[in-house]
Amino acid sequence: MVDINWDGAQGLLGAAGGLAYANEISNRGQDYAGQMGQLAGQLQNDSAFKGYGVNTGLANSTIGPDGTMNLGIGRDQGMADAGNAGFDAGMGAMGNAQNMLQANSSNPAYQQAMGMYGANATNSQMGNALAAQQGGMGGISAQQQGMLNASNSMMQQSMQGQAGREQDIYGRAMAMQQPMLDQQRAQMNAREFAQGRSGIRGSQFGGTGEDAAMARAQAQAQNSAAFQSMGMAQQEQMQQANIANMYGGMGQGAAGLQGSLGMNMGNLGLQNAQLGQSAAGQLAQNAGMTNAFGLSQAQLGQAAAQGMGGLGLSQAQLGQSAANSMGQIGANQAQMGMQQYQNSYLGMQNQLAAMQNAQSGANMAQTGQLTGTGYAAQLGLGGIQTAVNSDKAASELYGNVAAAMMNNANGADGESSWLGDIFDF
Amino acid sequence: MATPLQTLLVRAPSFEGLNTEDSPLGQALTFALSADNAVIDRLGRLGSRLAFAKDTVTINTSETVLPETVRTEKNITQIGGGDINGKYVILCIVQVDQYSKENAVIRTDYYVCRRDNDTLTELLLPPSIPQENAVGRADIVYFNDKIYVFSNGNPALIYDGVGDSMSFMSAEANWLPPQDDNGVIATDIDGDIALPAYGRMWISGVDGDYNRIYYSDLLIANQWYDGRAEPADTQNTGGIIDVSEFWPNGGDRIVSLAAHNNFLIVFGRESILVYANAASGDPAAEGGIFLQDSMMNLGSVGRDAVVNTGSDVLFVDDSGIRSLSRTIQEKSVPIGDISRNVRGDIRRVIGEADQERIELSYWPSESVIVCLFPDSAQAFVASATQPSATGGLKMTKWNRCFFNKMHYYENQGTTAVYLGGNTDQNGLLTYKGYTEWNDQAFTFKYSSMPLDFGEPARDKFMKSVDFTIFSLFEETNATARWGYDGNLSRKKAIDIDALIPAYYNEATFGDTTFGASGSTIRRYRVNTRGSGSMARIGLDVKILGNEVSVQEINVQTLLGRIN
Repeated sequence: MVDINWDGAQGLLGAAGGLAYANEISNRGQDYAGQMGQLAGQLQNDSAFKGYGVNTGLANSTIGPDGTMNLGIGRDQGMADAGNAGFDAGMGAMGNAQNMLQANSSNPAYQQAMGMYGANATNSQMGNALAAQQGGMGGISAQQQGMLNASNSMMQQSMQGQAGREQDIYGRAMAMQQPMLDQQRAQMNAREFAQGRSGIRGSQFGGTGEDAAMARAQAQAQNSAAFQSMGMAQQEQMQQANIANMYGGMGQGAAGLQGSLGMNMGNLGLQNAQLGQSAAGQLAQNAGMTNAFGLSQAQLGQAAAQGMGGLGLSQAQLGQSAANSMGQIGANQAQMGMQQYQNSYLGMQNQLAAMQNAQSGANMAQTGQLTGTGYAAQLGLGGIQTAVNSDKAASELYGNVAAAMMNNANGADGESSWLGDIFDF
Repeated sequence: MATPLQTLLVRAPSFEGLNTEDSPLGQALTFALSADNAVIDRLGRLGSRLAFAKDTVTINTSETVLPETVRTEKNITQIGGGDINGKYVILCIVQVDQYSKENAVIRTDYYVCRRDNDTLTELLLPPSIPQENAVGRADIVYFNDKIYVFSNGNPALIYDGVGDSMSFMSAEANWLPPQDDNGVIATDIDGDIALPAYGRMWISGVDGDYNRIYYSDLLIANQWYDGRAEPADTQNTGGIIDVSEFWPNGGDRIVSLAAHNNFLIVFGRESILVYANAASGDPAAEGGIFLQDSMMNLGSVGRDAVVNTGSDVLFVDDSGIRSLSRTIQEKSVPIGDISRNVRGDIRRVIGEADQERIELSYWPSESVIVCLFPDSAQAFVASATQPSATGGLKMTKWNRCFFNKMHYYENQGTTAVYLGGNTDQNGLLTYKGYTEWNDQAFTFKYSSMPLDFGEPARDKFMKSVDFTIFSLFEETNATARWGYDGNLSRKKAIDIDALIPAYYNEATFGDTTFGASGSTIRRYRVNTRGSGSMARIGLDVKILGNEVSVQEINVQTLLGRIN
């Protein structure tokens, strides 16, 4: 009898069953893929943008499935034409204003004023004034230097030690007092002589008691003078500091004055430079200022120039004012044209606003559409997933059974399995 | 026609002493023209002075005797003394002169000697006394239990009564010379005019300056002016007085100092300054010493020619003996002329004398003021009792005054007068008894003013003069003199009896020691003769161990016709 290895037969049967089941599972997966493709196509169709429309009293606007928008309304041509007409009218007014300004720049009074200014620019009095001003600056500079030097000197004196000065003051005070002290001493001597006390010296006093009293009084006076000298030295120091400050202030004042003069001269130069420039447009725009400069310069030398300059200025101002008025009118007209032109787009803007309002409704529709397709997709996918999971569980169970059978087909040591010899696992 | 005898009885004749200043004619018989070796005795009579008796017998000095010396004289030039701790000490300066055979002085030494009973004992002096000769004129003063010897140019010497040596003042522990912040003013107190008074020592002549008076601290004679800002002794009240501004005659020099009744009296040679309030606590303090009065053309002739009598200060001026009498208010010092009655005589003697040696001394126990002229060995003596009718004191005159100095001693109820003998080896003398130091008699001499008996125009014929004389101790010889018209050309010797005192248990009655006379006062009649318009009488009595006084004179005369 043939000796049948049952263990090996059992393994062979298990492997055959596993292979068959794997094919079944693979087939089922392909079915599932087909189902999901169908579901995807359906969902794509269901979720696609269908477009929408907005109907107002102004127009009927539509949004196509491809996103194109048809507003259904254009600009108001009449209003656009009216705006263009206003703008053109404004431009014409501004041209008039420019013409008026150009006419003002050739104002004879202004020209006459400029001529007079030109004459004034070479005015010898102005030269004299400038020379005097420069001389003044020189003097002020010297004064400034002197003041600053004096300030420095006083400052240095105020910063010196007081002891020497105190001694000097004390010496002067005592020198001033010396005649009086001598007189007092002489009177004292005479009084002592008359009293018969002259020539007496005692140990307690050096001289007489009266001498000592006078010496004490004089010593007190000397002490007082010493202290007063100290106070006077301090006061003097303060006074010197104050004088230094004052001189410094004067120097600074002179410097300021010098700077002011320099600035004045700079202004004069500037004015001259400005006056010397012949840019007509700038002169036209600054006619009044220029005339004022001219008037100022004319005031330095010639009263007539002032009158003429004033007249020129007045006229220029009048011309400028008229030009400004005309320009303003033109601007207003242009503004009105511009506004009218903008109003011609007002219908379109309103339709666009209505479309924006309608866009939320479209969004709501789109959202509902997408939500429905989402639910459908989820349910479809859920069914497929359930089937897949069932297959997966069945395959795992089957696999486990086959694996147990295969394990039992192995030798005691795991290496001498016949099944292993057949299937290279 | 004969006239009856006129009797002129003069009691206590000349008891007002000499009067040579007023005209002798018509003067009262209470004055005398001569009164030699006389005093106004205790009963107001004119009597003989006491003797200049021997006091010391030995002078021990250590001079080196030169080989060529043939004779040595020792004279006492100065005397001073005082009570040192209860013992009265007398110091004197002994000048020892050595003479050659040509009778020239070849060496002179000076010694300070102390009186030890009858011996003068030399005191050892510090070495190097710069001006030894000046020691002979030293001023010896007593102050606060010490005796100081001040001499010109020499440091002051001090004797404290202990031992036989003296020391310099500058060697004292608390010595402080006059000084101020500029340095020492005088290195030594080397003046020679000293006055201890009012608790201080007052000195002039320091450093040769006789216009300054240095006064010491109170009771500390070694401590002088200290004008430094930080004095050594803060209690020092010594000082200096410069009197040069106050001489009323433009300039003078201090020759003597005196103290009296809170005054410091500064004697110049020709002027006097009177400082008041000298006894104040600190003379230099306010209310201290000040010049109250000054006088010109009056001054002292010498340092020792000034004496304080307790109630007055007397001094010898060129015009005689003067006084600074005080007034009731003590505000000024009018001048009294003490020697008014002998002004001419004493002025002449002063003018002829070595004035620096003139000394004035007051002997209270004898009630006399003695003005000594050593170089002429005479003295004018003023009675310190009542003044005479002229206002001057009663004056007499002494001769045989062989001494240089006088020192009145009074201690614990004992008084004495010591005299510095200037005759060879006589040492110290003393004024007492009736026997002179050399046992020789001196003469008491009296002569009256011219007598006119109230009849100046008529001749006088003196018939007799009765001298009533008080005599004592010893009999003696006398010479009665009389004359006319200012002379005493006639004389007659008389024997003066004396009462011999009986001493208990020394003799018995009937012995010779009792003598024959039983009376102390006896009248001696002298018959006289001659005539003249003015009569004069006199009496010379030898004094040797006896005492006489003229009690009364009775002159009997006839008056002649009118010339």
